Amino acid sequence: MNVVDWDEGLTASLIRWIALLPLLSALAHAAMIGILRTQLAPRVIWLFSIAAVAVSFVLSAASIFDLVGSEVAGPLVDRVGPWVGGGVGVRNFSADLSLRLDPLSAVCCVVVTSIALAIYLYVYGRIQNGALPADQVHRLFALLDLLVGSTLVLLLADNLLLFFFGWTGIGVATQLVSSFDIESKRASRAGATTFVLGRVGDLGLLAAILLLFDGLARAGAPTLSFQGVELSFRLLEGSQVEIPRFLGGGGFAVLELVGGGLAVAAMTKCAQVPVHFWLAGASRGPMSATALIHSATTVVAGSYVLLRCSFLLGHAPFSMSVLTGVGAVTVLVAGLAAATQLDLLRVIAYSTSAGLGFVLIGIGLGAYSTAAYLLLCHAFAKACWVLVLGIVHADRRGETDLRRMGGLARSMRWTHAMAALAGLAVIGVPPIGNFFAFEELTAAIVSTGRPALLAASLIGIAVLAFALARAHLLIFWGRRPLIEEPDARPGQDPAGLIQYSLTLLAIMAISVGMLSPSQFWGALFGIQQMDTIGAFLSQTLAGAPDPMLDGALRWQSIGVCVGCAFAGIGWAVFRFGRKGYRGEFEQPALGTATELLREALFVEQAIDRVLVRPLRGFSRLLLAGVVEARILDRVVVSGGAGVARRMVWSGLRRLQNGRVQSYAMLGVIALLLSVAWLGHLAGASAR
Amino acid sequence: MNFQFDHILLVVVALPASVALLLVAIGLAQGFTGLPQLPERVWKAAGLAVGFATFAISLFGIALPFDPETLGYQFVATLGGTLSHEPRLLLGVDGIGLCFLLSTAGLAPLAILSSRAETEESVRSWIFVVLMLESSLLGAITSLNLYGFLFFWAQSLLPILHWLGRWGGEGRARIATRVWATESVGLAGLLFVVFALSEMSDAQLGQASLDLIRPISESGGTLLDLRIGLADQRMLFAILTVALVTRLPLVPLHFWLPQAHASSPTGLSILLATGFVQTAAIGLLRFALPLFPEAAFEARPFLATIGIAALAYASLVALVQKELKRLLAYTSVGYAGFAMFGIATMNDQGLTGAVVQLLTHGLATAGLFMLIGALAKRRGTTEVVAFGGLARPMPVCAAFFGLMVFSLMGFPLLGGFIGDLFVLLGSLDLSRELAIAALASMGIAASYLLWVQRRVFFGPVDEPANRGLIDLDRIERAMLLTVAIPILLIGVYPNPLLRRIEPAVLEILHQMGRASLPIDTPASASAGPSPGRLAPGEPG
Repeated sequence: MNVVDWDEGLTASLIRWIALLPLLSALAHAAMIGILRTQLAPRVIWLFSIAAVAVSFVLSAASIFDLVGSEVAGPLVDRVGPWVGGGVGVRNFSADLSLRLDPLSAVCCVVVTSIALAIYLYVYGRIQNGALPADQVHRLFALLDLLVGSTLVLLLADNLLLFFFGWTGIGVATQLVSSFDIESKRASRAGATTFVLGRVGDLGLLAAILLLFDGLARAGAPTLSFQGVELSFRLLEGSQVEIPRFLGGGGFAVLELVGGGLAVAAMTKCAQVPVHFWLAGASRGPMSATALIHSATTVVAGSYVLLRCSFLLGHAPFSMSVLTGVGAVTVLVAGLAAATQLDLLRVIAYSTSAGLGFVLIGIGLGAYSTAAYLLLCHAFAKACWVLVLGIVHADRRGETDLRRMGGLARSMRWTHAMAALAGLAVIGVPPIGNFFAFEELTAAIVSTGRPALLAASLIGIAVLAFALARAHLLIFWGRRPLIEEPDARPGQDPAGLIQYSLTLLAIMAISVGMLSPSQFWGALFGIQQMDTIGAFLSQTLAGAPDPMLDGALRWQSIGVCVGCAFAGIGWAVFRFGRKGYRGEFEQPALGTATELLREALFVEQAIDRVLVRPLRGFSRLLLAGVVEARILDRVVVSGGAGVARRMVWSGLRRLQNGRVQSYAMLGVIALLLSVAWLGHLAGASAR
Repeated sequence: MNFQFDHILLVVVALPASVALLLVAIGLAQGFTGLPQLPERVWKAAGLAVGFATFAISLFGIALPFDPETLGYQFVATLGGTLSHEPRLLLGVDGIGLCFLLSTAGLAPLAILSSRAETEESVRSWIFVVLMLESSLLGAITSLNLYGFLFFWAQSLLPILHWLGRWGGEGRARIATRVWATESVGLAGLLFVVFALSEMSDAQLGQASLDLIRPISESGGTLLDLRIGLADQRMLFAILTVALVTRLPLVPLHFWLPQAHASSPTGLSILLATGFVQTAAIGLLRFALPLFPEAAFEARPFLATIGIAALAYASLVALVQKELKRLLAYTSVGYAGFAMFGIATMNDQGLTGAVVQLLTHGLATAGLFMLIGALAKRRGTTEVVAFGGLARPMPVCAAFFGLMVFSLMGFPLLGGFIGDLFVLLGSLDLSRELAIAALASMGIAASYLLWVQRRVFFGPVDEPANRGLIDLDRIERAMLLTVAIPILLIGVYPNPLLRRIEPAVLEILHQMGRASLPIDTPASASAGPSPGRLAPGEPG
């Protein structure tokens, strides 16, 4: 034992606190709300929560320096102790309570905790303005802490079981956020939708975990830890799960099924087509929680599950091509949906779906480092943009209809500037925000040589730019709203903490986007190590950190990418810049198309019609009405009893008119049969 | 604290019934001599005191000294004949029995407490019924002798029939007869198996022994030494399984349960959903599997398929129920199917999962019945449409409801997840296709509970009567905490529980000839089958 060991051990055992502190804070809040029934001052509640998150942030930031500075490659592992175990021999299932800090989880932890810090500051600004009732503050912070804590558990988990715990924690917190307003029917409906779709994702992830474990156990290497899985998953190559004969026969590769389960899980959490609609409902909670869901927690979890398992995704080519396809479709559908909405919250939701679609395209193509970088940039830029719109939302007293806004730029100069900055960062206008990440992604798509995919993602960039610019113009530009409020009043810029927190987020959004352009730019400027984050992450992620595209082709791809973004903005300015919203299309075809896009292809309604209602009807009619009430009730009980009555005890009926006897007789008949069989058995055993 | 003595199990089993009988005897004597009856308060106090005392004894006298490292049964006690062929009681617990014993003993006083208001008019009957039921359930859970199991099995029926027939509300005769109809089939089947086995034992071992183990002081064979031909095994296993699953209850033998629940007071529902179900599971695990191993092993795919089908079917029926107690009854029918699925895997993880699942889902269902009872007490109805937006006036009630529902759905950090996880792990060994089907059924199982939670607790408060509802009082909160704490403990750190269940499960598999034991203890050495039946390693 030397000093260095001791030092490393100390750092490693601090890792658990990164995740534990926000969770403990959430637990304390929950206990105070539910059991102790104490009502603290909002300031105390806030101090409690922000202290927990601040310590988490400091610890995770410190751990990055640890990882960068350490000579030894490999993760820091904090093993708390044995946790769940059962089974003998090769099927032994055991999971430790242990956390793992490697480049990927460390970077994500810093992102999550820093965004959370900024958002907590923002919430305190709102509390100071008296915008939040005191009884809601407690619940809000319990939920925010739960979101952050579960995300940190997910990021730091060393094995798949703990990972799943974090995953469902996020799901529960997201559901509770979406039904935050408990008295609203709409919110409770949204909560249910969120929950059911989250459940689909949970089961997909659980199926992937179980199949992976089972495959490894059959191959003789049962393990759940990421390191173990990474070492031994190649044993599963070639093993298959048979499809039953009546379903067509054949088989599925196990790794393909695992990849498919992970893809389903990611699609639900990232709100991709066809399960994109929950996010629109889930955005009705408090704006701060919405910002967290859209940037650093829920949607990050969806992509992180794939990044964490990136080593085996290459062995599930079919699932990955499906994922790419889903991403491309979502980019178009959700982008167009965002571009046609009249409701601010739905613009936010669908633009997030579209943004995550780009991330999933990257993952599906195997450009993991690019996708991770895009995810980080998206998190900061989106958090900033959602919070700025939250200011408008609060200033307009909860109004979400874009038609009732307009011309706010004059009264809310600071907010307008900030919204423009954040929106441009989300769109990826060079050189800020998502620009370098989008450019890398476009280069990666070009280098795979798939024109349809390239077209989809370029149109997607343009549509996303159009959607964001349109929302911005409708809110801030123009003269006055089309539908005028009777008591219209000018907007008011925020002050104090809200300004600070947004400035902080904006700085992060802009700087993170410029922190790590790909090495192509490094070569251009003569910098040796340009792609810092990409290189750091490539210690964990499979695949190359940079797309293999250089020279003129790269310049062309950059040009097209930027051109699309500007085209989208320009079209929006041309259409909405001067006049603002001026009514729907007059052509019926375009009106129908708008309606279709606005409802995001009516998938939610379609699922309700095609799946939910028939299922309920089927249950009501067939199961509850026929089987339970008729067959089981009459035929089995009454009918069986009737037969017994008629056959055996018809004489006794005259004496005793109750039914008890007839039922008792069923038992007696069974007894008589039993005795007969007994004689047979006794004869048999005697022989 | 080491006040362990040989007959502590006898005390635990006999205490509630003997106090109940004593109270009745006093009542009869007073009636006979014309003295005034004991006031109802005395009955209530005595019932509660006995309930808590039984739980305390089983916690401090059995659960704490219980040695998780030992294989085989502990605290073995006999009552009656000293020779093995004489009818007698033979009691003992393994890890599985311990779980069920503790949960039943713990829930019985809660059952008395939770039905205070509903049983105002019939306090004496109620106390008598609960105490008798508790004794017989505990007896069935700890019986290591088929006679004893049969005795307690039949005995546990009488209090329920008495209560349903006397106080079951509208249509009570119909409901009681229905329960009796199904249960008598089960009884007949059990009786038949008992006769058959005692005949065989007489023929093969020279004495009609029905003991599962032999106490160290005695010599002679046990039931496990019987050699039963495959054809007979199949027949007997089928009869015994059908007899036992009438009580589990497995679809399609479940039709009596929703009605029984709907007309039971909360307390009886609690015991019906936990101890009553667990005796059936004990019968399957302790007798059906080890006695007829080949037949049981053959029946795995069949039983597993029925289990999943039962879960899906009951979930679909529950989806359209409009009354909370009936809905909850279908929930427990569905999870009985899932437990059957776990038992049908017949490997260590599946069986462990099934036991954890029965325990935690029993606790969660009991909690939900308490909450529904609390709602019924306040509103006088359990129709779903009568509620809405209750989270505003009753936040604590809503929080507990959410906790129980999440546990039933198998959410991590709650007990239900551990059971589900291990059942699924075990089922992967049986068949990956069935495991995926089970996952899909779990998806349906979640949806209706969510619908109920949303309908009852969220949304606007439409009914004016709901606006002024008072949240759970102190006693109700304490009762729900008593149920919630073990659910949380098991969910957060399940290892202590798993460590106690696993040896018992391994013992069962060893008796089935499907697993080799890490260590052999005297009890298990004599209880185990002859080495010829051992097939160590992977089940085929």
